[in-house]
Amino acid sequence: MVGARRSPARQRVLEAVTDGALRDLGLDKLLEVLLGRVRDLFAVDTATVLLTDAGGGQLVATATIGLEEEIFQGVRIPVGTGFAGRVAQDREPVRLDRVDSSTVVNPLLWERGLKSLVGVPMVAQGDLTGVLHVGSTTDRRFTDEEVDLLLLVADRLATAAHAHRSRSARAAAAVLQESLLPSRLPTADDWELAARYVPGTDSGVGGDWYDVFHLPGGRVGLVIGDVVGNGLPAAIVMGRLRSALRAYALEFADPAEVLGKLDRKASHFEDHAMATVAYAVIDTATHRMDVALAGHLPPVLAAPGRAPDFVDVPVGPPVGYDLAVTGRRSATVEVPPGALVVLYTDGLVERRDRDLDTGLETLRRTATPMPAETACVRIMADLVGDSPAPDDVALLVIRRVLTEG
Amino acid sequence: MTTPLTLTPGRGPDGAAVLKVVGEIDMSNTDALVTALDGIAGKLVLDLTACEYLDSAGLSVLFAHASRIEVVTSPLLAPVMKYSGLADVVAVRSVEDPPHP
Repeated sequence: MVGARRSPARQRVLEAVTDGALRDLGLDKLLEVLLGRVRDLFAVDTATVLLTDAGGGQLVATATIGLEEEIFQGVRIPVGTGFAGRVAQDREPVRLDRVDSSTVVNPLLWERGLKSLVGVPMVAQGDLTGVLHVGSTTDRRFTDEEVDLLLLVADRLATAAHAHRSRSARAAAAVLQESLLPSRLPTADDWELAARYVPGTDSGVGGDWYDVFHLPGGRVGLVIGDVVGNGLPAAIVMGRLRSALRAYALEFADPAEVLGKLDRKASHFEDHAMATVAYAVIDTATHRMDVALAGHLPPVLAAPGRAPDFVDVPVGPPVGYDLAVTGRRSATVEVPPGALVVLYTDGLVERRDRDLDTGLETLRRTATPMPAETACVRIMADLVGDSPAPDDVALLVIRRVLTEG
Repeated sequence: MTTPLTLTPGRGPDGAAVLKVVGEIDMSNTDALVTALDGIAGKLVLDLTACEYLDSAGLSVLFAHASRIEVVTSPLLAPVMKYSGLADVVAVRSVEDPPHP
């Protein structure tokens, strides 16, 4: 087919998919407009887009002309099964000239009276985003050229769906993260709190979080954690761990026990998710702090009159793999008047071009007794400065106010 | 963008399975590490003496295989092993100069 590349049909399809007006449309509208054009250009009775679900294992009917029931009924097709499932699995066009229970799994297709179908994969940046298929109620053999042209349309649709998905995931992760970080830190007599969260330049919004809450008996819970991974999946796991930790914090006084329960919960319910967590409980009556660590860097304690140092706490394994077979332990330290406690994530101290001990030492030297907000400013200035951190950074500082007398 | 990483399976002097890691491990290439570890059955020594960087995504792979690995590391990564708690659940050996085979 020498003439095919410049055929009038090809020209019309190219114009239909490259039309600049499409750029301004949201995904739903774009699908509707393009499917309408596909129906007219290919003279078909149905044109349908199924998009992959979040896990990538199923195709979900998303837009159609002529098979509206598919959308109303929420049709889902497992990748690998039936007609669309085969297109998705093999990432190759599939042509059917018989439509019945032996060739397709979705009865709506033969109930609609379709006699021939062609489906093409939608692939963008190497990811399968869905399947486009068209159907005819007449006996018709779709030509190689028609399949080629349909692939052009599928490429355009795939690019739009891919961009839409990345944008939505980024926006959702940012909203979720923002909703889960305390917008106002709780206040306690004689205690000042300050915090920072900065998304990483490489990772975007990730799985770092901090949390502060009142507990019964005049105690205050302080949490800082880091879910491995980034984007929406990490933010979702972070949200679940955060609320689970709060629930256990109400039930158990010992931070090591809380982290043990959290580990068990995460190991059972989160598939292959790992998180590091530091959890401290300050008793505002006794001024003692209990701390436990699950694979997390130790807090800094800076008390007036002595060198700031890392709190000496045995570090247990991170949560998520149920590896703390010998149990977890916490440590108890005094927080004297004027002392500062600094909790942080690895994004603050770890850089590719600087070893971990160097970052930790800089932090230890910077974290001297001073008001909590000033400490945040100074620590961010000394450790992040003018070179943006590739990984996200969370910082939580609490200070016991120096009272007169 | 994928970070440079070479993974070479082999055998140690005592016949034990060894996976030699050269380069940097981060989120962009942990899949390769997972595949390499899955390709080796049973106990193995993970040789990180020529590994220059290991982020938390890489650490999570090590924790997932905690029951069957032994880690040899350079002093550069020793603090990471200590602070992550990996050294508590896995045998970690820190060597000044990687032994030449």
